[in-house]
Amino acid sequence: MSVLAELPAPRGVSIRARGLVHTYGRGPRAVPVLRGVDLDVPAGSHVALQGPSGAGKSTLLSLLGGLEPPRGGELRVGDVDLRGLRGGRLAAYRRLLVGFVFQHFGLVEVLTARENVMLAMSLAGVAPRLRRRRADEMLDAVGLAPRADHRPAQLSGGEQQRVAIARALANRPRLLLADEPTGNLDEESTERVLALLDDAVANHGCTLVVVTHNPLVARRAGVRLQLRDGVVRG
Amino acid sequence: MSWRDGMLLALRSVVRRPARTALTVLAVALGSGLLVALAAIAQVADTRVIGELGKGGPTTAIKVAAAAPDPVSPDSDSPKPGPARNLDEAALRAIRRASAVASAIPVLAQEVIAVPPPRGAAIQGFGGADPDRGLAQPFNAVVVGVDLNSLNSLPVTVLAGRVPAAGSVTEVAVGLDYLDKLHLDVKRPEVVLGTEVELGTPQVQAQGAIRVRARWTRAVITGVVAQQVGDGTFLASRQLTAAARAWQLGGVDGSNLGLPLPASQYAGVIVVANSLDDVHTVRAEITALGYSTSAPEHLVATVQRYLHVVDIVLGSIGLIALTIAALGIANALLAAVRERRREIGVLKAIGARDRDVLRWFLAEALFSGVAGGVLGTAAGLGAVAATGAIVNGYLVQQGLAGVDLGGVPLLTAAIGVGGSAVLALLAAAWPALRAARLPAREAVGAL
Repeated sequence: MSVLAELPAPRGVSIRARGLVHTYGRGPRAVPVLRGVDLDVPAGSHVALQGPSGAGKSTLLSLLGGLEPPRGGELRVGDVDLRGLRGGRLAAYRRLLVGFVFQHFGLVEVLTARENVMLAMSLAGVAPRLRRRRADEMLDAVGLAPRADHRPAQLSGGEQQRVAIARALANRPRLLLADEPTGNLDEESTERVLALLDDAVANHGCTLVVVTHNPLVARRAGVRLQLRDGVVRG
Repeated sequence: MSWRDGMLLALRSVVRRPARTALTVLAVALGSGLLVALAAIAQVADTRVIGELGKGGPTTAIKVAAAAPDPVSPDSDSPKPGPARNLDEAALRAIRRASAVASAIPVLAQEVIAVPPPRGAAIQGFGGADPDRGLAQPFNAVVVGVDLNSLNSLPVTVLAGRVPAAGSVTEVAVGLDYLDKLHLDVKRPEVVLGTEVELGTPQVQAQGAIRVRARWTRAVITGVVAQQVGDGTFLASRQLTAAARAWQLGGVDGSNLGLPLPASQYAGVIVVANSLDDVHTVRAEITALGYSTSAPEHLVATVQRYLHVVDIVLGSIGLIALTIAALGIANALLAAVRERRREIGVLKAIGARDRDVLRWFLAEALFSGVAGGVLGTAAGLGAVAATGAIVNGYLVQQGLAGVDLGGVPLLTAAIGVGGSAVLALLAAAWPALRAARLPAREAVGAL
């Protein structure tokens, strides 16, 4: 039996933001990035976040992913209130609830594809005997089983991104965050990666938030949001 | 992340950058190698110098004379003995009962007439242009007898051959003065090995007119020694000396003939204290028993102080080298942290805690430290062995005993490797903490 089948089915999480504010720096040099974001995303949604550069898309994604705590306002992901989380609790939130897909893949260059997937599981405390099996299944699911022992530098951009998706999904996250996941990919790889992300929502049941400039990517989302001047419009 | 996973990640990171890793390991190896080599050399030098003060025996040896203590300064290294005093079995037992005494070995001494082998080919080097040279002139001498099973506790250095077998009544060892008396080259002591010497013990007999008879023993010379056990040309087993002494005691006092009976049962006792720190106490207790003692305790203490200073200087040089190596590790890790900001951020983004990142960098430093420590320790010990071989060659060339470096000093090796590992961890602490405290937001650069 597949180890993936042994895992509890993930449920997507809802996202609720009210008056979400975030600045970089303090005092007179503080740069406001988010100026009061209000957001309601139902669990299991596929959301496309669009907007011009500097609008605050990456910052919003960073707050949703618990990379930093918000400076003001309310932000809840599922049952978790992100305002009060710091340090180890924020790390636990990332580890247990969130999966990231990076524009530049974010693979650890000294590890093989399989080891990159296993690393996420190691951080989540998955038993060592299960990691390898599950990593192989994840890589098989993204069509990279034959490349499991290759390092990132030995893989194409599309393959690296598929490894990154396998890693992001390895711990069955309830919230999958991706920023320009196809930004560095050709057309064929783009289509393959988007199909995998669609599959993550459809079959893994997670909530997907994708930041993109690509209309093709945005069109696949059920919810499309525009971020301008630190505020969500439309 | 478990330590195992942290180690794997660190190992891969280390292998990924071979040039930087090699330089870091080399720096640690140089530092630890220098420290190990200096420590080993200092240790050997300390042992050698202190051992030299023990004249071939333990440095904790105390020589007890059959005489009353020096009334002025009984605890000086070489006090002037007072009047002769019988050192008998009861006194020996009392000495053995003193605190901190490891062993007490009685020393017998017997005056004899020594007759070297006849002039001729018996000893190579005999004779020569001078007709007087090599004449087998009898001479008065003293045989010193001890339990030769306790040689390790006695101040005896074998210069050539071996000491007599324990209990043997037909073997003796001689001092260098024997070679002098025979006009032989003291730099070639081996020429007397295997030759025979006759030892005559006088006995004054009171049968009407005074008669002196001698009991003759023919002994083979098995070795040439430098000994501080007692004043005598010959070193023999206790049995040989006791038999000669019993013969003389079988006669009467011949003081008027210059042949008095021995006044003391034992000529002296070699006492070994448990440690150098105990030497003074043991001497004081023996002095209280009424006997004169001598031991190089003040000299040893002074030399130890100087050696300690030398150790500190050598250790400091090694520590400076290790500190430079530590700075190398810290610098390499700081560079790694700078290079991997995004990677650290990504790792945190996928759930790594501060301690996971800390573990990654500490493990990386540990690899460099252990690898450098192993290499450096091996190189340091190799350097010590090479230096020892060169020094030994020189000493032997100069007619001196070589330096015994012993086997691999496991403790020094363990300290070399362990110390390097600990130092690497200490050096890595700050860069690793810096890495661990990087915000997960660093991954945003990759988002």
